[in-house]
Amino acid sequence: MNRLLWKILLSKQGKWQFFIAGTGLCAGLLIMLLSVQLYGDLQQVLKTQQSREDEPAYLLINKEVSLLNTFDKTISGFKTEEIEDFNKQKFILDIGEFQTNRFGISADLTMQIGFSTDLFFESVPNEFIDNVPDEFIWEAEKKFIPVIVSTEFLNLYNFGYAMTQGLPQLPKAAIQMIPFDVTLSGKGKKQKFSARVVAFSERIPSVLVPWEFMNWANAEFADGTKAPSRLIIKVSDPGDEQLKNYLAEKKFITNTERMGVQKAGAVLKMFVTIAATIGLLFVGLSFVIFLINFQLILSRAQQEIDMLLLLGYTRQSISRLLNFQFVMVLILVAIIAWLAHLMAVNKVHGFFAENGFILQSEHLIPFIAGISLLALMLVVNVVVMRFSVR
Amino acid sequence: MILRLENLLPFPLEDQDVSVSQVWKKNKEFNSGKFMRLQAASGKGKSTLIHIIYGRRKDFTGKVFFEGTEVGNFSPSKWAEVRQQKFSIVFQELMLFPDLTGFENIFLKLKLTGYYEKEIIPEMAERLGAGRLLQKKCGIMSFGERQRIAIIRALMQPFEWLLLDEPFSHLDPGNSKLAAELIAEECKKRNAGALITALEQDDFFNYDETVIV
Repeated sequence: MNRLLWKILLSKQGKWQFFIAGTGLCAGLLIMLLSVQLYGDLQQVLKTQQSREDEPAYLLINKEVSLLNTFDKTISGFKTEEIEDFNKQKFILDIGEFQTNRFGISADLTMQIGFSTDLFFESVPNEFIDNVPDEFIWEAEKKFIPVIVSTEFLNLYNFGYAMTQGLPQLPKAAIQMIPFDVTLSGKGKKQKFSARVVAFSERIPSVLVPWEFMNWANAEFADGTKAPSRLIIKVSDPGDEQLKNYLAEKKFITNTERMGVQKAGAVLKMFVTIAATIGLLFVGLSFVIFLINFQLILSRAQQEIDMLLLLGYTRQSISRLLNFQFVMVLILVAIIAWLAHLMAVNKVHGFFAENGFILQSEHLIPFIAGISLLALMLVVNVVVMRFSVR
Repeated sequence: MILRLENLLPFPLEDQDVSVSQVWKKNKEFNSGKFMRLQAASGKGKSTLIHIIYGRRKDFTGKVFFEGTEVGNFSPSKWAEVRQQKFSIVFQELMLFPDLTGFENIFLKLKLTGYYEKEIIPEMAERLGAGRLLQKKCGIMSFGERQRIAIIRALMQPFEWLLLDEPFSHLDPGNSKLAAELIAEECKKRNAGALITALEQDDFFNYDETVIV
């Protein structure tokens, strides 16, 4: 570069504008880099979080409970068309119906824990249950009903009921060892069975019995049929927008806990996106200040530029000088912003680690994003300069 | 390079009587390698003619040809090339950068053309008695001192024509003679011609022709 040209032209520039624009550019670039970085890192965490849970995920679906259901019990059931339509949606991998008892059930636990109660049973096809032992099978001649109970119920009993009523707390293994008597009644018949909890389910909050048993018992002790009031669906992505929209539209309710992580992730991503936008805005404004500063140089140095042209210098050599200066600024800004970025990422990761999230950093994407942005500015500057040095 | 002027008239001279001029509203050719003296009283357009030829002014009617090519449509980059290769100039107002030293002003041109090694600058400056001016900023030089810097700068490139607009106006006869010798020598090296404006008769150069503007 021609040092003399530099001396002639750049003595004309506003040093303050230059400094402020540089600082703004640096800050904007830093914000943007951090946003892109965190967006990618969070994405990674959410992905692993999701795969750690059931993948694919199972969701329980029921209809909204309103006053209408209270008076007309058939309303809360799913009609066959509704289930078929649901099953046709492309986000559904599989769909299962819950079958409930339409007969009376009473369990007698007086011998064990001094406790006798009416009960309900539900059934779903085995492939929807997370934990199916070999015993979970109905053999009519044995008069034995294997039961799978939700872990939540056990917790409810152990930490709620037992504690307050002065009853003994029961570990899973103990419960599985205790048989109890169940009496089924309906259609004027009454029959006693032996039953035992054979497993616990994390997935389904219910009292499950084998599907075949439910078929047999409903036929034996009840008349007619009843639409299922709950469904279980298997989906690849519980956070899927289409799924959410479908559920909202049909007024179906789901256990939303798993979607919660996705929701928190979405909120975080939104904040990060807003930050990235602010960063971009910073960069944009600073860039405009740079362009204006260059215009300022050009207009202040109009006489000098005319003299240089009369000496045989070309417009290109003059705009090249200003572009070169801009490149220098960009390189300096990029280095500072990148170093600050690395330090900030370290801090942020530390913060997340304290809260139990280990973020993995993938630096390539923010790096590429930063470089692309700088390249874009450079190109715009070159074009603007070409038109400005007239 | 043959320089041909066809029916030139600058706008400012439109209402003046230019009948005595051998240039305005006439056809005039300057043959390569000749030393031409452009003579006229003030306000007759000597500087204007120099500026028109150098492509600095466009406010005229008529045409200018370099070696048969009309210059009216030259692009800015073509003019840059012409100013680096074909024409060199000493403006009457000199056009030096006041914040640069004498050396820097000269070197600005040499850097562009690479015509000489930069050791030539002190050599020429010494010949013109301007050696001590090289480290001085042009802004604080006298006009005569600056004139010598501008002359040396004009010699830092190849050219076929040297345009000198009252180059010795602020030099004493002795210094004028030294400068004229250097200029003549450099023109001879390049087989170049010169257009020199003057208010009155002088004998600085062996003029081939005096043209009344």
